[in-house]
Amino acid sequence: MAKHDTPIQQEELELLRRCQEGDLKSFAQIIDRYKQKIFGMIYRWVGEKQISEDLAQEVFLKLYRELKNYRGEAKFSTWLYQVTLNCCRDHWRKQQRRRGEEEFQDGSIGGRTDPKIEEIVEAKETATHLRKVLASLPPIYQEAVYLRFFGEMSYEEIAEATGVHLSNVKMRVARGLVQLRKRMHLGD
Amino acid sequence: MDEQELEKLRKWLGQDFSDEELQQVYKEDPQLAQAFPSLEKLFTQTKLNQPPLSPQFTSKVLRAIKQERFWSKFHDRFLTWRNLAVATACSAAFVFGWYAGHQKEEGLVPSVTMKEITGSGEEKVYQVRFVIREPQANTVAVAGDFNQWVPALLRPEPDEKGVYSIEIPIKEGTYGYSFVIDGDRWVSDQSANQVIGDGFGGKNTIIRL
Repeated sequence: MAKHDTPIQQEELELLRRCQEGDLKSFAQIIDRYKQKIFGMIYRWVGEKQISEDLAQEVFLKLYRELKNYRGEAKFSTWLYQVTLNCCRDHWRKQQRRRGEEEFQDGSIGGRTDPKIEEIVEAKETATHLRKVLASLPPIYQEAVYLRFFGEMSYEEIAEATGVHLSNVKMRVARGLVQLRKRMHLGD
Repeated sequence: MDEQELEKLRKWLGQDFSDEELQQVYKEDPQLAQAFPSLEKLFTQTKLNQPPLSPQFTSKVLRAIKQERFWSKFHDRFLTWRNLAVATACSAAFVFGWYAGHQKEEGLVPSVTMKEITGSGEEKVYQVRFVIREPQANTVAVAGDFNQWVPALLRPEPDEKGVYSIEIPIKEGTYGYSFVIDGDRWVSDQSANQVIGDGFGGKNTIIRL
């Protein structure tokens, strides 16, 4: 129980225990506690509100189904991010299959014709542009950058959620940023 | 790599990075530290652009869970081996019944319909329609008290293969009758409620008008 020694974590464990007994009111509290963060993580990955809401719903449904297997060995939030990450990965794979990867392999994203960030005025355009460039990164870097900067997770949490060694997580985040900078021509 | 560059990288990448790791990053991209303000702005703008989550989100998830729980309970409670065996037996009985009925329909399922055509005086007359399905037959006739047991030939229905019919005006009363298949096989109307022995080992059907 070393990982759950704060009062908040203890209270959360108690909530989860009640959820495991089938108490939906407790589960509603869990949803309310994490829904914004989960939705935010997914939205920044997916970029479409409805799809993101559907995926967030899927995450909580999956969570509810799997809750009986949760023994508290890992931090609950880490476990939740893991489920979210898997949902996003599945969605991403499906999307890639559908697109046949043509959109990001034709060089249009990483090419010199891309506008510099200073030229992008609208926040919406910026978000779309960033999402596209991120999507063009190798998945391991893409995921690491998302989790660190959009999921606001610590390196340790990412390591736990992805099962990747801590030092590798750090280098993945750094290399993801390097590639992002180069593709967006920032600081050139 | 000077100390200032190292601190810039550490500030953004975090205290978790060791000096060696930061030097490695610097070696791979010396411009990264300079790009941090732009990257930060980019991430902030992207976060701000996030639309609000719909207010019904929690209730939608709970509704989906309740539905799932309902079907799960239904599954556990009703989809047992015993119930499946009962359902299979019922289905088999149903299929058998349908098949038997269908066979009957395919075989000899005659019927009689009637309508009053005259209502004057004391004696009513009905137009009686005799119908029989007999796909194997060459000829089908009907004979009864109403035509002094002289077989009257039925005509094949143009739209239904193997179905024969005839309409005969008959005065009110009670009559016995039979169908005659291929001129020599006398059969009773199996769809009728009442049959009576014909005195020769066979059966006649009773019709009341």
